[in-house]
Amino acid sequence: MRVLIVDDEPIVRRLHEASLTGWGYQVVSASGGEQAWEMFQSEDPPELAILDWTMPGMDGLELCTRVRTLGREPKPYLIFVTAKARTQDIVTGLGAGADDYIVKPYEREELRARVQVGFRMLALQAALAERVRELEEALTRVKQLQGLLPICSYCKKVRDDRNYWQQVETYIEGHSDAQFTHGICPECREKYVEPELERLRRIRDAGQSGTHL
Amino acid sequence: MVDRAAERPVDLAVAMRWLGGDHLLLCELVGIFVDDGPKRLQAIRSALTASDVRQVEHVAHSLKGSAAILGATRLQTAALALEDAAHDGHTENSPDLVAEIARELDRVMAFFADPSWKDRLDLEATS
Repeated sequence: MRVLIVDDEPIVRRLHEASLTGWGYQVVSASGGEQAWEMFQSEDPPELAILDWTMPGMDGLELCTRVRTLGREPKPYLIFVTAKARTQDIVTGLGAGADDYIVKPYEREELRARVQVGFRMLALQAALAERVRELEEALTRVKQLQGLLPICSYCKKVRDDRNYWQQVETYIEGHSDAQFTHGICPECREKYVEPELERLRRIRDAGQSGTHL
Repeated sequence: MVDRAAERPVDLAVAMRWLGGDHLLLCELVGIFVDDGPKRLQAIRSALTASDVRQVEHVAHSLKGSAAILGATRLQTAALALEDAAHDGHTENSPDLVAEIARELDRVMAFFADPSWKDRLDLEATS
């Protein structure tokens, strides 16, 4: 679990680094918005970032807005940690795409709890994304079984897309995850199996009594 | 009886609350501040000379944040006054505000220059 700290103030940065490292997170730091922006555009961007707002050059608000316009998935979880405490500041920060907002001064345990919430949200997003992927795959398989399928009126074989006639079960097994196991339904048991068994019993009985059927 | 702790430029109890009682981390942050603080003051003076109000605001804001963590509350207040003035575009009082920051910064630097400040850590952190 990797956290990016973005703050131009070295003491604040070091304080965050020490706290987060002590809580077991992997930490990377940026001393300004421009450096952080490069990290967000890299092949391996941070999952969660703690942003100062007031910085020279690209400030936290602009950085936040830019990261959200990148549109990458999964979206990084962004937390503002700032002394800007007016309600309008909080509304602006969250409106720019931040997921959370902490006003200084704050207790270290509060930061810890909010970072934990952030990673819980990221885990939830990842689980949902995986579920969506599975459902999309399933939908693709279902689509393979859609459409007009010619079937022989007598033997019930179906004609596949390469013009071969196949048993229905062979065709379905080839176009889905379904597998067939053979059994006998009650109707067929009565219609086919029972008469056959009866015929065999008669042969057996006739053999025992010496009569020919 | 005079409260000597209240006269000091640094309230170590505040710093210890920020740092969760981590003495080693405080010593490390003090080292950063001693190196960085005078540079911040110089940056403020340069920005004022260049009439770069936005830069004055940024640097004062940054100095305020460091001072808050170290419990340098008077320095924090002085930096906040300059930050607010710069934010509002009122630079007429800036020389006085910068002079106040310089005085408080000197006091904080002198406080940390005396190694005995570490001896007061446990005493003041629990006060």
